Amino acid sequence: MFPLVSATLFLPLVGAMLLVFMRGSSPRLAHAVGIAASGLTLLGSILMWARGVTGEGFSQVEEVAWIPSLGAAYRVGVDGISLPLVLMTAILFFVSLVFSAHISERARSYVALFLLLETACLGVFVALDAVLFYVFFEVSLVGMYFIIAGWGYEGRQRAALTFFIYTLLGSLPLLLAILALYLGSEPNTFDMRSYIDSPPLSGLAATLALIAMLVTFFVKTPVFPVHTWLPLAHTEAPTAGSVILAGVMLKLGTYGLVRFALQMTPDALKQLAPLVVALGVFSALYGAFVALGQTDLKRLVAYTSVNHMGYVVVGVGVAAATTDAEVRSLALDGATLQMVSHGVVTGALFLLVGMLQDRAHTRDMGAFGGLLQVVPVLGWAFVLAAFASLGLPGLAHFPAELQVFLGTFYVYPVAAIVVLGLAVTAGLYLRAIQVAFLGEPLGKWTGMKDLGAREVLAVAPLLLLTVLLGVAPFLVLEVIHATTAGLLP
Amino acid sequence: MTTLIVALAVGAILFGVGLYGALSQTNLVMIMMGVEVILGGALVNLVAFWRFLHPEAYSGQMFVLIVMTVMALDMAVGFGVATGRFRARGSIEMEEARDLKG
Amino acid sequence: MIVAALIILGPLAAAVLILALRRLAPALALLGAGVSLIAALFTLSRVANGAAYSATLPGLPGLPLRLVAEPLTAVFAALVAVVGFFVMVYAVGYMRGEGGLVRFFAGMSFFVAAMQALVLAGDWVLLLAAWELIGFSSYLLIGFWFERPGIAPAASRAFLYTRSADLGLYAAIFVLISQTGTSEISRTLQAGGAAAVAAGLFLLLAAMGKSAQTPLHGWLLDAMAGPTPVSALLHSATLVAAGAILLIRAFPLLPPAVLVVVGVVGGLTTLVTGLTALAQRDLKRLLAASTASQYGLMLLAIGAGVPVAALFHLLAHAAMKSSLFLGAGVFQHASGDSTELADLEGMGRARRLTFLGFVIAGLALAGVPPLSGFWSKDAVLAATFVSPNAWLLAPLALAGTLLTGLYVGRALRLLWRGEGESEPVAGERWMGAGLAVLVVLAATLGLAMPPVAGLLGAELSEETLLVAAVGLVAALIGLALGWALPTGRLLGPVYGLAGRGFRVGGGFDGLVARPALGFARALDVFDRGIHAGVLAVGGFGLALARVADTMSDGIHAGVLAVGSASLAVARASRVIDDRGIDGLIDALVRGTRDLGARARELQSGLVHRELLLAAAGVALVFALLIAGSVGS
Repeated sequence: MFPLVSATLFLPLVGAMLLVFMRGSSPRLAHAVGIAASGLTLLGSILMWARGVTGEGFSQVEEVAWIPSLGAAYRVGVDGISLPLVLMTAILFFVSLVFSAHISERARSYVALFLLLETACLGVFVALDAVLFYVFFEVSLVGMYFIIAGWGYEGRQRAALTFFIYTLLGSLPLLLAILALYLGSEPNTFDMRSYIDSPPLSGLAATLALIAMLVTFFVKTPVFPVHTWLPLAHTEAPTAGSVILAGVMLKLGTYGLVRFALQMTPDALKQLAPLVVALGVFSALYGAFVALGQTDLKRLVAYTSVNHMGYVVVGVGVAAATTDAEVRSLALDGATLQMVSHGVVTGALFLLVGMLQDRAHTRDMGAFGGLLQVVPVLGWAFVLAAFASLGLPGLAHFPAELQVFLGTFYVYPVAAIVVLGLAVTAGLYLRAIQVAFLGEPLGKWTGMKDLGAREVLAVAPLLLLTVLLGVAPFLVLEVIHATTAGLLP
Repeated sequence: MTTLIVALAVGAILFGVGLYGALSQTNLVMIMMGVEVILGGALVNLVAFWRFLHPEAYSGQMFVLIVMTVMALDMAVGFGVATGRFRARGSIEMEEARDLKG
Repeated sequence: MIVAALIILGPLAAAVLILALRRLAPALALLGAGVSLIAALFTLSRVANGAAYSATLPGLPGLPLRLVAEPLTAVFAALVAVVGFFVMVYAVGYMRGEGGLVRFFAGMSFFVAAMQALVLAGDWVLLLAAWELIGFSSYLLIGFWFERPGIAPAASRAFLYTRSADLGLYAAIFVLISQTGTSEISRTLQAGGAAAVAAGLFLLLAAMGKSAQTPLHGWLLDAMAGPTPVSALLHSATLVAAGAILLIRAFPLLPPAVLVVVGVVGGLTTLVTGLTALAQRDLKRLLAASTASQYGLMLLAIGAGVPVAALFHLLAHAAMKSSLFLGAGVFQHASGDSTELADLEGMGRARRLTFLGFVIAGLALAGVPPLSGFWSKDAVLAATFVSPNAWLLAPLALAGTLLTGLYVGRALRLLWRGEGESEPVAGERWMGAGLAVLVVLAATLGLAMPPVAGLLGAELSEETLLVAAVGLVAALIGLALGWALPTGRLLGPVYGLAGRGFRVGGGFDGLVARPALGFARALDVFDRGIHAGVLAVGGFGLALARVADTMSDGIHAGVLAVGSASLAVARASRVIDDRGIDGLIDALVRGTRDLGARARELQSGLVHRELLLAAAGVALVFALLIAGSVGS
C-alpha cells in the first residue's frame, strides 16, 4: 500500500527543504514551490478522503518501529475525527499560500516556514504515537513564532514571544500527562491506540493527568481564562498567519481534547464534565461579549473564535458526560463539524479582514463606512462569512451548532443558555457590517480597489465550502459519524 | 708447642716484611712481591697450625694448595696489569697512577 | 411530487439564475414566482382531493429534513405563492428605474423559496433553517438601499430582534426533540406535560419575534424603510405570518395554560399597536403597526382555541394588507417617494383608481361586509366570545376591531382630504395589475372560507348574530370616528407615547443594545486586564530570572573568590617551597657535596696509599677481634 498518509504529511517538509537549498531564488519561484507543495498535499489529503475510514479504530495506519523497548514508534493514521481536520488543514494552507503570493520580502523563508508549519499541523492530526504528537505539537509553535516575528505588524516581536512562551508553558503539562500515560500502560508504550483501547490510568492518577491535559488544551483552544494570547497573536500576525492560527492551530487544542482527554481518560472527564461544560459555556458567552466590545476587526474575529471554540468544548464535555451513545455521537459530531466549519469560515474572515487592512492600513471599524459600495466583492464576501459565523442556517456553522446545542440540552438542559451566544454574535457581526460596510462611503476610501484574482482565488474556495457545509453537512458528517458512532464503550 | 710458636713467629715476620714492602714500595712489581710475601707468611701460619694442631685433616693441605694456585693466578693477573700499564704509560710507578682520584 | 417540489425550487432556481446571469432579473423572478404559484395551486387541488405528498432529504445524522404537503401546509403554500407572485408583478413596475435590480429580485425570489420551505417543512430543523433564512432575506431586502442613512440600523434592528426571539424556537426544538426523540413535526406535537408547556412558551417567544407582537413590535415599524414591495410581501403577508403559522401548526401541542398566555399577548398587541397605528404620521408605519395589531387578533383566536379562525384572518389579512401596501406604494411614487401622511394629503383624490382599491382593502380590514375581512374578523370574535377566557379575550378583540376601524378611517381621511398632486408614476400598469388582483382577493376571500374549513376538517365557532352585529358596530363606530375626529382628540394623553410605539425606557436601543455594548466594552477592559495579568506573570518571571541572574553572578563571584584564594594559597606555598624547603634541600645538597668533596680526598688513586688504608683497617679489625675474644 502506498504510504499515502506519510507522503501527504512530509510533502510540505520536502518542499521546505527544497526551498532551503534554493538560495537566491526569486520570490515568484519560492511561492510557486510553496503552492505546488501545498497543492500536492491537498491532493494527497483528497485521496486520503477518498480512501475513507472504517468505523473501527484508525484507518490508513502506517507504522515504522523506532525504539521498540520504549514502545515509541513512528505511527500515523486517521479516523473519522482526524480525517476532516486533515483535509481542512490542507485546504487552508493551500489557500493561505495562494494568498501570500504577493509577499516579496524574504519570500523563501516565509514559504519554507509555512510548509514546515503545515507538516507540523498535519502531523498532530495523524500522529498515533504520543511522542510524535508532542513533537509536532511543539514544532508548530516554532513555525508560527517565526512567521509572526518575521512578517507581522508593528508589535510583532512582543506578540510572537508572548504567544510562543505562553503556549509553550501551556504545553508542558501535556508532556507530564503523556509520561503518566506511558508509565501507566501495560506494557509501557507510547502508542495512542492502546491508550484509547484500554485507558491506562484510573482514579486520582487519571484525574491529575486529565487536569494536566486540560490545562494544555485549554490554553491552545483557547478557553477563558487562558485565552488572552489569542487576540494579541492574531492582530500582529500576517494575514495568512492569522488564517492558519485560527483555522488550524486552535483545532490542535480541541483535537487533543477529543483524542486525549475524552478517549484516554474517559471516566475522569466524565467526572469533570460539569466543570468543563460550564467553562465552555462561560468561555463561549464571554468571547461573544468581548467581541461585541471590539473596534478592531481582527480582534473582533479573534474573540469570535473563543466563542466558537467554546461550543466545541461544550460538545466534548457533553459527549463525556452522557451514557447514551446516540447523544454522545450527536455532541461529538457537532463538535468535530464545528472545528471544520470554524476553520473554513474564520479562515475566510481573516483573509477578508487582511485584504481590507492591506488596502486601508487600518483595522479600526470606525475608520470605515459604506465599503459595500466601494469594494462590493469584498463586502459581500464578508457579509456571507459573517452570517455563516453567526450561525445562519444554510451556511457552515449551523449544523454543527445545532448538534452541539441539542446534545447539550439532552444532558445539561440548563447549559442550553449557551444559545444566547447566537444572539450576541448576531449583534456583533451586524454592528461590524453596519459600521464598516453600510452607509455612505467616506471620501478617502472611494479609490479602494476590489479583490484581485489572487485574493478571489484564495477566498472563493472557502466561501464555497461554507455554503457546501451548510447545505450538505452530511458529506462530512458521514465520515465523522462513522467514528463517533462507536467511540466510547 | 714451642715449634708451633716458632713457626708462627716466622710467619709473622714474613707477614710484617711483606706488609712493609707492599706499603712502602712504589713499583707495582715490588708491591706485588710484598703481597706475595704476605700471602707466604699467611701460608706458613696455615701450615703450622695444620702440622701442629690437626695433622690428620688433609683439608689443610688442600687449602694450602688452593692458596698457592690463587697466588699464582693473582701474580699472573698482576703482571698482566703491569704489562698493560707499562704499555699504556711507559712506567709502572704507582705514585703516578692517580687516575682514580675521587 | 415533482410539482410540489417546484413550489420551492422555482423561486430558488430563479434566485440562483439571477445571481449567476446578472440579467433579466425581473423576468426570471416573475418566472420563478409563477412556477411556484402554479405548482402551489396544483398541489392544493390535489391535496384537496385527498393526496398527501412528503419528501425526505438528508440532513444531520438522526435528523433528516422533511417536506410535507398536507391540507394545512398546502393552504399556506398557496397563500405565499399567490401573494408572492402578484407582489412580484407589482414590484416589476415599482422598481422600474431603480438600480440593483439583480440584488432585489434575487433577494425576493430567495425569500419566496425560503418561505415556501418554511410552510412546507415537515421537520423542525428545516423549519428552523427556513425561519432564519427568511430573516436573512428580510435583512438583505430591508437594507436594499444600504447606502442611505438610517436604512442599515433598521435592517440590523429587524434582524437582531427576530434572531433573539428565534432563540425561543431553538429552545422549543430542543425540548421537543429530546422529549419525543424525533424531529418530525407532526410526531412531536404529541408531547405533553411540562415539556409541552415549555415548548409552547418558547414557540410563542419565537412567534412574537417574527409576528411583531408586543413587546417585540418595534422592528416592524422600522422595517418600513425598505422598498414597498418588500413591505407588502414580507412585512404584511408572509414573514410576519410565520409566527402565526407556527402557532397554528403547533396548536395540538399547546396546553390551555399556554393558550391563555398566547391570547393575552395577542390581545395586548392588538391594543398597543392599534393605538400606535393611530398616532403614526407615516402611512407605511401606520400599516406596519396595523399589521402587528391584526396578528395580535390572530393570536387572540389561537388563544381562544380556534386556530382555523386565525388561519382565515391570516389569509384575508394577507390579501388586504398587501393591497394596502401596494396602494401606498403607488401613492409613494406619486408623491415623489415620500410616505409621510402630510405629503400624501389628498393623494387619494389625485389617483382615484388606486384609492378605490385602497378603500376596498381598508374597509375589508376594518371588517365591513361582504368583504373578506368581515368574515375573518367575525370568526375571530366568535372564537373569543365562546372561549373559556371570554371575559379577557373578547373585550380585547373588540377593542382591536374598534381600533382597526379608527386608523383605517383616519388613513382614508388623510388620503382624501386636501389637494393632492400626483406625479407621473412609472410602471403603473404593472403595479396596477398586482394591486388589482390582490384587492379582488381581499374582497372575495370570504367565499373561500367554508371550503378551506372543510379541507382542514376544522369547525368554525358557532356564528351568532350577536357577535357579528357587535363586531360590525365596533367597526363602523371606529371608521366614523377615525374619519371625523383628528387623532389628537382620539388618543388624548396617550398620543406621544403611541407615536413612539410605546417604547419603554429607550426601547431596544436603551434597554438592550446600549447596555449590551457597555457590558461588552467593560468585558473588553476586563479581558485586557487578564492579559495584563498574564504579562505581569511574564514580567514576574523575567524579574525572577534577573534575580536568578544576579544570584548566579554572586555565586560566580564567590566561586571566583574561592579560586583566587586558592591561588593565593598556592602562591604562598610556592614561596614557602622556594625559600623554606628548597633552601633546606639546597643546604642538604651542599652539605652532602662538601662531605663528598672531603671524602674525595681519601681517594688518592695511589695504590700503596690504598693498601695502607687496607692494612690499617685490618689491624683495627684484628685488635677488635682480640679485644672481643679477650673480653669474652
